[in-house]
Amino acid sequence: MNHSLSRVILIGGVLAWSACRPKDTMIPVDFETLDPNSRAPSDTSQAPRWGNIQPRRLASKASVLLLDEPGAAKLHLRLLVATDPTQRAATTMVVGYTALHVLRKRLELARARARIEFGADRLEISISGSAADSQEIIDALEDTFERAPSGRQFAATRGRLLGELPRPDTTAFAVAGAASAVLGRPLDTQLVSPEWLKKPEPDELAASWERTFSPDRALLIVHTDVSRAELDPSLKKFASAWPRKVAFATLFRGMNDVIDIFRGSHRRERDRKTKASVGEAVGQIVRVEPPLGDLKGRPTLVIARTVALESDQDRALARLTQRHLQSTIDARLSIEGSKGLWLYRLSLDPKRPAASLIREVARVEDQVQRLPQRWELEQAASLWLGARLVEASLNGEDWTGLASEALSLSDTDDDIASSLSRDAVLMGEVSPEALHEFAVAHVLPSRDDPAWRWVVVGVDTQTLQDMNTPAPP
Amino acid sequence: MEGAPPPVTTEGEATPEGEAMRDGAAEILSWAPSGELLTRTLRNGLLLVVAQDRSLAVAAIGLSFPTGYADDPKGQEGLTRALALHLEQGSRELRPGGRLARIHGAGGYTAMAVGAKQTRYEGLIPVWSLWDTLTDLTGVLHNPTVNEIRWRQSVSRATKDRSGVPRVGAQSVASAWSEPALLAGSARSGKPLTGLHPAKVRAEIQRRFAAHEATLIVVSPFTLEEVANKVEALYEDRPPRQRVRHPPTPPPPTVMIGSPKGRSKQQRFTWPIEGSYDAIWRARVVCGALNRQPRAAGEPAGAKLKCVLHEDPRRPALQVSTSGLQPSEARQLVIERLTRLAQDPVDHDVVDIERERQARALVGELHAPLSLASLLARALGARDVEADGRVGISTALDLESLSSPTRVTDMAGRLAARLLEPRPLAPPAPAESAESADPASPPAGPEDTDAERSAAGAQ
Repeated sequence: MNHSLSRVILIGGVLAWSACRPKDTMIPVDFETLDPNSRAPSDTSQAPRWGNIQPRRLASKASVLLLDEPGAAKLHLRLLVATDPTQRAATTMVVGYTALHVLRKRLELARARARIEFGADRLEISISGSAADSQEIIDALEDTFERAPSGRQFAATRGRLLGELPRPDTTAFAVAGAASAVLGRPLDTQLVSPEWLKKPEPDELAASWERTFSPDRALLIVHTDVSRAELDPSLKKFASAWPRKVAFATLFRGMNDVIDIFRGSHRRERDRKTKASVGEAVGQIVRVEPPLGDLKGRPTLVIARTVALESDQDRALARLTQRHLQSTIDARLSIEGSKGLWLYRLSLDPKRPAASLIREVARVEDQVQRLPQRWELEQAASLWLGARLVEASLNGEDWTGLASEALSLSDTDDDIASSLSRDAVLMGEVSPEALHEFAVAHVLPSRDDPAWRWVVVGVDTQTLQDMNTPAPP
Repeated sequence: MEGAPPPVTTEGEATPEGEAMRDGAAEILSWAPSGELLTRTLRNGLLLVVAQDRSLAVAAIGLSFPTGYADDPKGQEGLTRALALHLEQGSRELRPGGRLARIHGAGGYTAMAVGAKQTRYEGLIPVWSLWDTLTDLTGVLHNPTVNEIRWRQSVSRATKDRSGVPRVGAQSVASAWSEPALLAGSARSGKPLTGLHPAKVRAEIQRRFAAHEATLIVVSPFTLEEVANKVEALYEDRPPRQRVRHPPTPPPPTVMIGSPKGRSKQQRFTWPIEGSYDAIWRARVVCGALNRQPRAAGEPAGAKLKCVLHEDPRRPALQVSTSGLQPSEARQLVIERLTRLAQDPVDHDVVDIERERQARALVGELHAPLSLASLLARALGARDVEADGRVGISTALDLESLSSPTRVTDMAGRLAARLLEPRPLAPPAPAESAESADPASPPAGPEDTDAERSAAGAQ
């Protein structure tokens, strides 16, 4: 669990990190039609041969996406649930881990492995086991969500998390603070600290469970040899046995596509009701204070903004820009719907933070303003596209992770099957000039631009004043 | 892998007693990929094995050489590891670390393992970098960069690398196999190695990492012939060599008994196991079943038994540790436990559960390119397939035989028999001794071979 915890300590940070993972693959085509001499990722099929996949609604209002691989000996399930961006991250974490613990207990007999991942807009619980145990695994999943856990189970999970959760460091606070400022959400929606973990009351956790795991907010992705495993009857049973009361029945009313659950305009609507914990001083560096005690780690500055990414091309361009810059500086991107959260993390010299700030910002500016070479873009694309596939293969040939990525890249349900390939092709079409133009226009940090927020952690008041004093010409 | 056969059901098959039975492990193994392997001996003697996996656009490579730390000369322990690491120091065409940089630059993964008698390179890459990766591998094998500075770096890395130390203790494995050279697995001698002349290093690389003794596995989405032809073209300018085979060495019919210094109530029993994939698989089942076996009535209270398997592909060993017992009681307990596994129908259930567990793990490995390549490199690197051509994966790995419960229980019986027979104990390895030999010694029985089976059957 420690390993998982290190990935979820900071929901905001994970949100940013998730964008640092490779995200794209390509068109589903027959491998035998490929040119084995090709050395270009964009010439090569990278998506699994999953055909024209489409999610469909079950009777319980949950949605299911079947990925059929004839001959597959494993069953991979991935339950995606849309999380509430205005909910405390600690609540999301306790609810998610409680589900994981309950599920793991029920999976013991089926000898399957369950994991949890937190994303920008969702929580994902994945299960991998033998296809021979399909029925047992589906039963375990069904039992887990049949009723909400008791207060005691929530308390046990909270206790376990408190025992294992490392304290956030300066980087975690700075990233969360910047995300909070830019997205206009409270700091506790972006970060989990031991203090905040103690806050949620049992009633709040139970209500959050009902809301989070209500079927109409959930998508179950199944990857196996569907016909051989005879999953359909199992799924029918699963669908009928999960007809719990829908707490937020109106939340997604009128949205026909599953994709809307994860990328709907309702998010913007709800965001208006929340308020950021971090001030809105334009051009000023703001310090985020931890609730208790000092933080470990070097002084850290995070510069963040949101970028409008309306089209596929914009999103592909933004992803490639981030991946190109990431080879030299710590640049992070998280895309939620048509909005991208862009972050730079700068580690400052503990002895002379104000002086190192100027140097580090100049370094970022240099990198952003530099016209990249064609080969650099090809290398960045190749690395990320390849790492994505290799990761999926190392995770037991699990296609559900790829399908989750495909969902992130899609605008409609019809796009899901080909979104990975389309994104990769778009990435291959980006010219150095286009990338340079985008970078200078949108991700070149500036103290004068009110879109950018500057958040620092780990400095004293005097240093903060020095940082906000304009340097002499 | 696509096109798996319909599930093989054993339902309705008659047992000797005429009862219908369903073997869970056999059914699970029927989920193994139905694909074929293409084996081809290239003109330079390299054995090429190609498999197809069309699940994702990734390719896996496994390259194994029948050399390991047990081949290190006395006083030059760690030489194989240093040589293996030195192959990453570049070639005529590649800068130092260039091969790894290219794999990582494409988002790939790579690893290297040095065993007692096998050194393996493995990697998983996106398909578009398959040919570059294979070309780089050929380059470093044919024209490695060797100079004093790079060699010192390789030795330094090898000296710091602590991986590869046997789980059951080098002393026990070396004693069980009666091969003191196996102690070299945990030893590193940096200074004598740094003094090696570059010409000598180059000669050692050419001798130990020779293509005519190596096995190259490629698993990719491409057709078998396509890959085989392209790989063959990479080696077509190499001088012809006769393929040299390295069949598994039969293990000595011994068992090592010892106890950690100052702990007379702890006993360790170590058996050498044949270095073949199927013997290792059965030893896994026996070991897992021993660890899950329920206590029998009358067993001493407080007695504990634990089994660990050292899975070196060429020099594996199975070790059972007991605690809370006098030496004679410990031996008796181990004999009883193994005999129960071999003969008691109640304990056969434990064996069957463990067989199913291991069958699941195996089928999972066969369905992912990297684990398939790794498994084939371990299995076929130690036991060459008989002839070039196509062979089913199930046949090459002898899955039908694996699923036989009697072969597992036979192995348990033979391990027990070695403790019963009044033959001499394996001599302790000369270096050190964390373990003292049991003076009243055990036995010997043949190993997990046909000869052993007949001997076991005869008792």
